Amino acid sequence: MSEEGMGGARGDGALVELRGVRRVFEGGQVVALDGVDLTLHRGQFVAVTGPSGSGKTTLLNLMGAMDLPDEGEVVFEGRPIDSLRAMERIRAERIGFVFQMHNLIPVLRAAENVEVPLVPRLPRAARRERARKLLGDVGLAHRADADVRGLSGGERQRVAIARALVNDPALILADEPTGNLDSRTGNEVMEVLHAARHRVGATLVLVTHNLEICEGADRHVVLHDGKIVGSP
Amino acid sequence: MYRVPCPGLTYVWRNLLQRKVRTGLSMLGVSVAVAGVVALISVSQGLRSSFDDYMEASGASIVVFSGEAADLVFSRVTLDDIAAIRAIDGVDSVSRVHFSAFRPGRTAGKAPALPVVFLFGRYPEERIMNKYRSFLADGRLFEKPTEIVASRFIADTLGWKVGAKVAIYGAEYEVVGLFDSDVPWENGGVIIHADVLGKQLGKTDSYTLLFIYTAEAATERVRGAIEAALPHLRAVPPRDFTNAFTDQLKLVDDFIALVTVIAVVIGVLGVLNTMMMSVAERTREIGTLRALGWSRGRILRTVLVEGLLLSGIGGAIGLVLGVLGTEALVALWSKAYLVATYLPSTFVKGALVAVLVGVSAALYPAYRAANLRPVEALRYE
Repeated sequence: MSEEGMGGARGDGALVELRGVRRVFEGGQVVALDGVDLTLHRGQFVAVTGPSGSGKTTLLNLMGAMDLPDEGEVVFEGRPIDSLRAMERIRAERIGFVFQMHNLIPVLRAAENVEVPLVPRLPRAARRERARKLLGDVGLAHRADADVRGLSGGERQRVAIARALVNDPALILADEPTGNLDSRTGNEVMEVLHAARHRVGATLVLVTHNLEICEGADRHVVLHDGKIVGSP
Repeated sequence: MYRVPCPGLTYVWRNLLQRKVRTGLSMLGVSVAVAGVVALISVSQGLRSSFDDYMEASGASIVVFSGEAADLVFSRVTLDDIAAIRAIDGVDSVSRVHFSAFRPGRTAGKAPALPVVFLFGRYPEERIMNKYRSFLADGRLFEKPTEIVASRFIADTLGWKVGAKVAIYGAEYEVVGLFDSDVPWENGGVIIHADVLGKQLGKTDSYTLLFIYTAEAATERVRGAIEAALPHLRAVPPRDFTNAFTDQLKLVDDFIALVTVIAVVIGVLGVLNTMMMSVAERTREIGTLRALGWSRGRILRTVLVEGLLLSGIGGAIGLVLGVLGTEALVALWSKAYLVATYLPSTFVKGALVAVLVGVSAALYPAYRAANLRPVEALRYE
């Protein structure tokens, strides 16, 4: 399957390349991705849509170095992702994740949640300073010491966005970040996400069912039964 | 690149606080295990120290007993042995002693007030009796086979007074004096004429052990001469007496080791259960941490530190509980028989038990957590 989608390459080179990627589950009974070729360039905003079970999350997991393909290869910044060590390094240093359910650590305060990706690499004072700055960027400076269990859905997702940006990622992967929010809050979160992305110049890959969001994307990848089938 | 060596301690600590009851119960399990170990070792050490103190308080230079006797009761130093020892150049005097014990009879249908009373067989004219002159609290030391001197604790407990007639093994004796020893273990006993006790023990031609008095400069030479001339006997400095009875003490040590193993197993099961549940409940959270770049090693260390922190705090509480519990036990129950000695090594052993529990119990949950695949962990509901 060749690469398809709306819009073209933008930026200064390939960030992620999927080459003939196939991923199966349950001993081959379920084919999540079937021979996918896809190249993402630096600074792009890529929307991924498709029905449930079409392979969107699997695609995100492979681009995010959280999973390895059964066939084909995933190349990140020119290097194939082929080992657990490489996967851990890329996730820690080059990728930011925004999950649908925000996935904040409930026992940590807002700023501490933002610090989590930096814990292995920076001393406490440096992490704290960076986390507070990023919370300021997403409009939550005043909630830095708040218990995340007491935050609204929109606030939690903004904390998650700050966390995704804290390691200056080259790639931000967002899996339906507005899926659990009302439309007004969802729009606010998207604005924050775009503003943040522009600040760090990262590529954003966003899985969504919201076609309005897709309209602003540089590329729109549509998946069906594990294959890229183009735009709706 | 800078590497932070330990996991986020804030995260670890708050996870423990998150489930207070479960964490508290697990800590309690570790505390009880460590407290039990501390109490046993302290009492065992107290017994050794008390025995050593008792031997040293004799003022003797050497203690002689049967080399092959597995228990003091079976030690036999014969009259021929004594004659040979007395003939050794440098021996100033020899004190012959017997040891035994009796159980006070029931009074008015009630159980005995004491489980056991030690009997120290002595000769009034021998040097070993000198130390009791300074301990004497009331009356006088005994002079005849029909007289005894009891510790004040025994007398108070059994209602004896100076001048009272008391029965021991069917014979009647007059209490002529009371003493207060500075050795707790000795306060559980009565001094009786050695011939009387020898007859009761069936040892009319031998003694349980001898206290040998020599000039300090001659002690080693005399000790060597005794063991050379009488190889069936052991001649040791009083301080080394307890160590010389390794067979008996080994049993105590084996018992403590067994209880320690049981304590560790109980502690491990408690902490293991807590850690397994904690990891299972946080599967999705661990997946998030993995997705955010925490390595398997860091997840492993995080869960291990959590287990260690849990058992470490439990262990610290256990050390305190062990001392308080032992002191309460000694104060409320024993007074004379039980005495605890707290050595730094006892606390080190208690702390090691806690660490062992923490590492053993957290290792498997940590391994499980570290090997969760982030993709699957994030899907976990």
